[in-house]
Amino acid sequence: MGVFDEPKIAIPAIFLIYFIVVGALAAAGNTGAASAVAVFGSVIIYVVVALVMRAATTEAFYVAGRDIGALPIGSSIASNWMSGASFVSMAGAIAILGYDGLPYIIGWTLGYVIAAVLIAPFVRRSGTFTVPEFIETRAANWPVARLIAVLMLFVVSFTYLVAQLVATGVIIGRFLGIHAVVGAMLGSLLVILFAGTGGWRSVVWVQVTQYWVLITAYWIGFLLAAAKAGIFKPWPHIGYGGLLASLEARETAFGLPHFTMPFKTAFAGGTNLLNWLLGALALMLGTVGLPHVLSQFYLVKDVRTARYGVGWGLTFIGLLYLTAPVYAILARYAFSQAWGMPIEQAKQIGWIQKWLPTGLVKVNDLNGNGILDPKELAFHKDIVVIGMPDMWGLAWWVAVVVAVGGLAAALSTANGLMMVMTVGATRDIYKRFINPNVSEEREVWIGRAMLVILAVISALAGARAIQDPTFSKYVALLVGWAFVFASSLFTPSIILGIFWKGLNRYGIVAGMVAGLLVSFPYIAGVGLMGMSPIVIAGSKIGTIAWGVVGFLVHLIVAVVVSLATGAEKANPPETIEFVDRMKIPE
Amino acid sequence: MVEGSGVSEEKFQEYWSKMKGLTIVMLLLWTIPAFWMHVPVSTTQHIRILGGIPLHWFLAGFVAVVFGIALIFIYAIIMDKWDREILGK
Repeated sequence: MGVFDEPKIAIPAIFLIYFIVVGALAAAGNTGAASAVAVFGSVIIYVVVALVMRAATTEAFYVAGRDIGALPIGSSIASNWMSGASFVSMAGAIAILGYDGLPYIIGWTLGYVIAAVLIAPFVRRSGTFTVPEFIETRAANWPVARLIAVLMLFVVSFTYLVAQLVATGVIIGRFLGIHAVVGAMLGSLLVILFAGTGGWRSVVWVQVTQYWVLITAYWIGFLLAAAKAGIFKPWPHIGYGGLLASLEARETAFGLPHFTMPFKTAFAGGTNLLNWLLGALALMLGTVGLPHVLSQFYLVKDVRTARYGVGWGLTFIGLLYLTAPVYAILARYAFSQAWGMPIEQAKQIGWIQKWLPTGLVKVNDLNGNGILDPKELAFHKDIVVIGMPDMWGLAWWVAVVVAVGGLAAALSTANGLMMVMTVGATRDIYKRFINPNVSEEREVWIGRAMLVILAVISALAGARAIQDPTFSKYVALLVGWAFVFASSLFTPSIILGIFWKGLNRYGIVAGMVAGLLVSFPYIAGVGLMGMSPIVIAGSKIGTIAWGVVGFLVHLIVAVVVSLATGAEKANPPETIEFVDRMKIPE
Repeated sequence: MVEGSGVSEEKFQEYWSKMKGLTIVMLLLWTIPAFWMHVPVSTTQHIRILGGIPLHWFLAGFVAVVFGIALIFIYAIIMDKWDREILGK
């Protein structure tokens, strides 16, 4: 394994080999082989990175040896955060929803400001290894708090992971022509390889690699399409005004409301400005309570790196999230070109012809006038990114680049989630409750065994989700609600625990339980049983926006119960010391 | 002395009170891109900038995120300075 012991040689070397092989195949005109090698080759690169970074100590396995610098952790935070859905569906969701889809943009980014100021540096400094451990320590070593936290961690991470595996399966399946179920199985297998080699240490470096792959892929397609559309005035992100104006002129001509007009459609079952604002806030508050987000703050060198690392993380996320709205406008403009054409002629347009058989684009002459009206051209949200190369007539290899990027996005998030659950099962359950005296070597092997078991279970769930549309619908809903659960169950106690010494074990558990009792019935009632949402000040409050209510209830209950049970006096001196120590950098 | 940190109680109190102030300021500033910026949507949707982009769209799809990134880095730089000056870390 000599070559695998030198990261600085091995990683650039594997990239070089990759480019030479793919380039040679492409130059030889064998596009099919070049595409397949490009997609599979990228996976081989990640496996090599994982092998190079392999490790066998618990410290490396659980927290990557706590020595990751600001730029790498920033890249890792970004790819851990941005899922296959961010890469493939985000721009499409905005293309469909317009302004009503923008809560996703601010909601999935600005939470990191709270993380940087209120959470990340302190979590790093706490000296704990996992979020449930942090909560137990803060609750004066009360195991009940840790059990609730670890259970919650599994619920949130597992549903999220199933969704990732579905995305991985669909991406692999779509580009390689194999069944999506096989793709999902393949995805799980890969995650076992990435994570089994060195736990978090391998996973972080694989995620760093995957971030740069996915962002490059996203930008290549974007910049080429932007150049064709002529929005480099001087730069696409600020130069699309003219394109948007001509799109909206077409919309007016067809009697449609403007694309950027606010509050045309519901956001998670709610309406109006209030729901829009609360929806975005709930996503932000949820972000900072998600276990796989919190766990990354444990991996950095020191407190200083934690602060800068989150800054780089949001910068790198912004590179994709600020591009998605422009992508959406580019796609919508391409659609609008087909409006008003005779149906038969529209079906002859290259990209429509290509994507019609997949069902991602649908053309139906609803009123039978032989002309394609805007509402007769329906599209699936994934077409915006996946079909972009065809819409703008870009070279064949751009589609391959997009596939490689989408796969990187899905795998990197699946990696992080799998790792969080593995660490939870190993450290928070096995070591804490079953066998506290386990030897270090054995502990790492237990971790690897847990990883395999979890991967198999999630692969089966992912396969089920692909085959069963109803099950899949529930998974998609659950992912949205993961944020509501995170903001109602975790976020308030973590923030209070850091900043208020008066928070005690009773307050923590009461707050968590109250958060669950407030969020779960509303989500189940409105989201699943079709009850009508509560109306506040004339706005319907959708299921996601409800997360803010859960957050506030948890916060108030935790404070009231703590005060009623003696607040600070109920905390032993070591808990107070734990809180104080968190505030001073090492 | 604060237990095991090598920082005197007095220094720690100074550091902590400054830090609390900065934290509150940061949270208040955070509400601008997260909330207040989007409240006057009925006005901003009729203002067009950069040759045709509606302002409300640009604020939510671009300015808010850049604002957030700037806040994190400003916080990190100020805290860094205090770590060195007050705690000598």
